[in-house]
Amino acid sequence: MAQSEQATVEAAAAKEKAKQVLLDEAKLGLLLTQFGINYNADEISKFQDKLKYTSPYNRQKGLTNLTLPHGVTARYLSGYKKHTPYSLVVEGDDAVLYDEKTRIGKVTFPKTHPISEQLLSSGEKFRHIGNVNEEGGFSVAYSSECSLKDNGEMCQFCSINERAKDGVLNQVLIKSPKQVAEAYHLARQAGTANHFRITGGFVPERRELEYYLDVADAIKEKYDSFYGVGIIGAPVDFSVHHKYKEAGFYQHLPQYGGMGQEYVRSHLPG
Amino acid sequence: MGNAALKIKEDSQAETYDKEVQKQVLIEEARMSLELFEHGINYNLEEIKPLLDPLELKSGFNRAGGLTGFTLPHGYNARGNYNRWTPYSLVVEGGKPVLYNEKTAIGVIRFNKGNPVADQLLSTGERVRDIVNVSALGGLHCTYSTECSLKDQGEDCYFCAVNERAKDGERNPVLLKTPKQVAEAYDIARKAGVANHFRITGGFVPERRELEYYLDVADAIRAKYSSFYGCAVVGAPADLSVLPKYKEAGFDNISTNIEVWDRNIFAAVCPGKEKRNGGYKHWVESLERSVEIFGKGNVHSTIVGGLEPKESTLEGIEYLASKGVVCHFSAFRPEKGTPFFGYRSPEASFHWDILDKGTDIYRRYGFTTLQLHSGPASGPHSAQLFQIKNGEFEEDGTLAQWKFPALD
Repeated sequence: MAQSEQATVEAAAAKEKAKQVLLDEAKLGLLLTQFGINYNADEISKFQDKLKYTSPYNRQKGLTNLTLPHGVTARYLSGYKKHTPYSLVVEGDDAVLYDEKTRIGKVTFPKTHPISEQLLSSGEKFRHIGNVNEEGGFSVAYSSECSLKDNGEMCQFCSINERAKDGVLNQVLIKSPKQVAEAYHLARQAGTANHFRITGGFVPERRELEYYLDVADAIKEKYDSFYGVGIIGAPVDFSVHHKYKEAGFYQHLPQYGGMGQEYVRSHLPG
Repeated sequence: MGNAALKIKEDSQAETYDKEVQKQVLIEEARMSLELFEHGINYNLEEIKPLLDPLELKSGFNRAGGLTGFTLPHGYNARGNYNRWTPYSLVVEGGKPVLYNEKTAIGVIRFNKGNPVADQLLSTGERVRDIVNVSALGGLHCTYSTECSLKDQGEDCYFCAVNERAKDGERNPVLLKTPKQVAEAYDIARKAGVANHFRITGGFVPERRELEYYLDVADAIRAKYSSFYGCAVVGAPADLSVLPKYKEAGFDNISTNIEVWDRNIFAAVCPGKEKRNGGYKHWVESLERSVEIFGKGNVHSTIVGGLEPKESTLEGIEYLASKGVVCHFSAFRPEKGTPFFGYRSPEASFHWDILDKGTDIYRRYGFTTLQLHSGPASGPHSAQLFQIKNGEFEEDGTLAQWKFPALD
């Protein structure tokens, strides 16, 4: 085999090997969710970003997401567990993940973007309006309620109506289009609004369309366009779909939620 | 009040207080059984195996290997799979298995013992245990086949592993039991005094021929005995007018297992029962019609606890109780070979809530301990707590093994 061919084959083999390491790390993330992690909260707290730790996204589980040694993010962690093969141990300046006695490697915890603490003109903190993610996007949950609760027909897995009880962690229960646009502007100026996601529960009288269009208009007062997704319940009248696109959303996502129509009927009654 | 009367009153109050304290200990033991189910138990199999009953180990109910069933220190029945990552452990001390919660000794447990009659041979060479299971309650459980015809359309219930049982090998060598075999096993068990209840169950038979089969089994038993006390576990018949035939055949109880109370989850999780066998409404109607024939408390159903929100399960238990049906319930266990394999059962606290409130419902509607045991195999899961709440335990605060009243 010619030298260049040999090099190509070796490079491909190396890439496959690296891919497998990452795939195994992805599986490990799920195992951490299943089994939980044992750690000393006092020792580990210094590694955790204070704002991430207190974010409603972490539901007070005790651990934020963490990045595994090769870069895969372990999400949906179930938090502290005493009886688990996995443990976090502080070694010098590092938090190290162990599987029983086998050292897996150093893990890191995501840091909150500094923009999160900036104040809007109306006095709220940026982070009470939206969230900046590691991918450089900006997301907003515009309300802490879903009107389906009025009929007792919320999706059976969804806790959006619980978010209003988050207290100081979730201070603005309904975000106005003006607030969303201002937060978007701050994020965009900081280079971290490269994707804009807006979601929330059902608005009474299905007025999501109006709201989303108002938000898009408010953003477009300053920017010709944005790259974003509107997460909506399936509109009663499909002919309105194009209005989201006209408003500037590149994508919209009617949430389905589950397998089979019987499952939809039982778990998503609203 | 004179001194003697005062002493009687004080003794009575002390006795009542002691009984309440004992009841609470047993209730805590009931809770612990659910914790063991959730968390599992750490143990060294080499140390524990010598303490397990060889006959129990051979039972199809112990097909997963590991520990057999056992009773906790005060008599409550429990099970627990091996798990390394759990606060519970079994340690052998002085030749006895002692259950620990972390470093706290809970007490000595006793592993279930099989009945020797299970190893007796039929005239055709099979053992009794290949045909029926002999329970500690002095009853028999017969799963007449290891398949459910709903699988042919891919519509068997998502949680049900009956179609996997054909792979159990030695634990389940007779895949389809004949009425003659069942009757012979029954006869052997009855002579040994352990056929005081006879439960027969299985999957759907092609062309819904369960009725024929069950009548044939009953006739075969009655070739030797004028009566038996039993429960026919059947799918809701397409034609409800056949229900009296089960009673005429000699079954005092009937069980039609709804599995899930939420009608949409029922349709999703039990597609065959929904599409091929009348649908949800028909199943509920079958239960209500059965009460007219078999009487209040002699009609049963069961719900797999953990497949739906617990409020829905409790709603089902209450509704059916109001119609005279004892709706039992179990704790969901994901089974290999089923679509739900890999899922987890809800936490112990979830199952406890159903167990606690479900048994309160039974008491409110006046069901009896006998009725709680006379239906499907899930009966004991709630029957023990029911007994405890009724004060049906020994003076020393232990829960004795309940047994069916002797027929002979």
